[in-house]
Amino acid sequence: MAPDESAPAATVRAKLEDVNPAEVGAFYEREMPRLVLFVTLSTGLDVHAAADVAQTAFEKALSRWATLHHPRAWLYRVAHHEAIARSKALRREVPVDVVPDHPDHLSPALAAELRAEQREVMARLRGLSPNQCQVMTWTLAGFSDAEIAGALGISTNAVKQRRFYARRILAKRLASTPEGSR
Amino acid sequence: MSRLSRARHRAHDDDAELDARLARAWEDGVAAVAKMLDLPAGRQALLAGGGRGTAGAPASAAPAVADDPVPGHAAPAPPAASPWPGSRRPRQRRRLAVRALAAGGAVAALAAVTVAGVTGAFSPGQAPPVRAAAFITRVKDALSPPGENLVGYARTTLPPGTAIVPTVGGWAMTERPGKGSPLTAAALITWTYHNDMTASAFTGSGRPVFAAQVTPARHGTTTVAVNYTDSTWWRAVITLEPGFRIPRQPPCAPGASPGAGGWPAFIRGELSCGVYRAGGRQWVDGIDAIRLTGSRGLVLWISPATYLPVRQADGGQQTDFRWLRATPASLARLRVTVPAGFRAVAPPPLAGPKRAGLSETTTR
Repeated sequence: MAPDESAPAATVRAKLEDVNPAEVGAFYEREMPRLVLFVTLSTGLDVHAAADVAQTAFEKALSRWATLHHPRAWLYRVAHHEAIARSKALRREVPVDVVPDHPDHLSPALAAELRAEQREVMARLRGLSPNQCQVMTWTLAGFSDAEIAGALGISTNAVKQRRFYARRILAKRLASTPEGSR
Repeated sequence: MSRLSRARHRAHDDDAELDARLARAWEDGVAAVAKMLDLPAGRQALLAGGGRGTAGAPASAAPAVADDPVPGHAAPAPPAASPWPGSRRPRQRRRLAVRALAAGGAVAALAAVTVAGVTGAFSPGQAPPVRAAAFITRVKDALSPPGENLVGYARTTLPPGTAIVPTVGGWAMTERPGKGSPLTAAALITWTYHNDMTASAFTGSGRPVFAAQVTPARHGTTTVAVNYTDSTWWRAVITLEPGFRIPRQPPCAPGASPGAGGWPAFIRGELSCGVYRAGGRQWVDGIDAIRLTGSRGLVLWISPATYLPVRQADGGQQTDFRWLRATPASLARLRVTVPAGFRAVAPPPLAGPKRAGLSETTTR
């Protein structure tokens, strides 16, 4: 699944000639919002930072588009790693005379766009442990257990186990706020 | 039905309900994010330059100024202290830099010539890849019409000991004028609207040093300057002779400064170089601003709501921005009034070398 990262630049340029802009554009418009939401939920970055991460992942994917067998999975993996690096960099940022912004569990901008009920579900997802949240986010994005295991570097059994406990916690927490009650 | 099978049936229903709620929340979230993103602009930026290892200017799609760009920029206020107290980026010190006001072509030409002569060659360096394409596209869109239909207010905090004097079509700044210079200023305030600009310099105690109004026209530029230190004023008109072509000040040049179009055009040019990278979020003047870091020490903070600049820092200089609706009150700030009793004097000679195609007419 992983492309050849050391492909010579000339080869990459040559393969770019084969890229169909309409195909890539349609893929971008379909996957960009999903990828941004995925990054936001899985790492806690706000929507603006997540959009930047997603755009970066698309740029990287475009340069090796012809070599990607599963561009969607590759894209989400790259975005996931980029977002984690970005989150760490954000934590390392040294405060100056202004207070750095610590992203909320749910981006305020995204929260404003969502209905109360969906906001509750998203907040509960973000309230899971990081491992459980990652597995749930990958699952919601439509990836199989094997793909999730490959992306997170864990076994499929671990994926199933984390999802089981995550679902149990979510069911318990969401039961206190039944659908349509908010 | 046994108790065990009823429990299993209920658990299955609960699982299905949870799945449905999660799926609905995910799809609604995707739809909400899609509404927040400018997908056509991002797509165009991606296909125009992204992924090819070159910076390039991210293509600008249709202007996508936020619904109400003014909130958060409404009230010009004194800026906070510099984010880097006492720190100065090592850089080539400019003995003299002429900052052209947002006047017509003649002024831009003069500024380009003078700045080139002072700071060295115009050689835009190898730009790194654009990594903040989505943000940069939005900032550029916000600074494009109709974004420029806003009145821009910029307050620049000058390094200590900076002397500044009005010139024809702009102002000249000396960072080390020597002690006792009567024109030492601590802050420069500019108001811009399209190509009209007014600049006022103040001392640290708030005493006005000078005010200059530059009004471009089709074939020339009029400058009116009031010098409060010696109670004088002058007016100069620069006209362009037919056939004179205006050399454009190349963006990304070391020491590049606001030229025709003022700060919005200057920032747009800097963004086109692809030198900015997204660097997280910081609170600036009550705004949870996006921080863009440039490769030459420039840092730009932009509002996430309007994508208009909130602050720019460049070494020892810091500029704070506010964006106002064009109302009679805000447009009135673009006019300079000569106080009664001030004496009219001849304007200073044109800054920089004389150029063919420019002629100066002095009127009082």
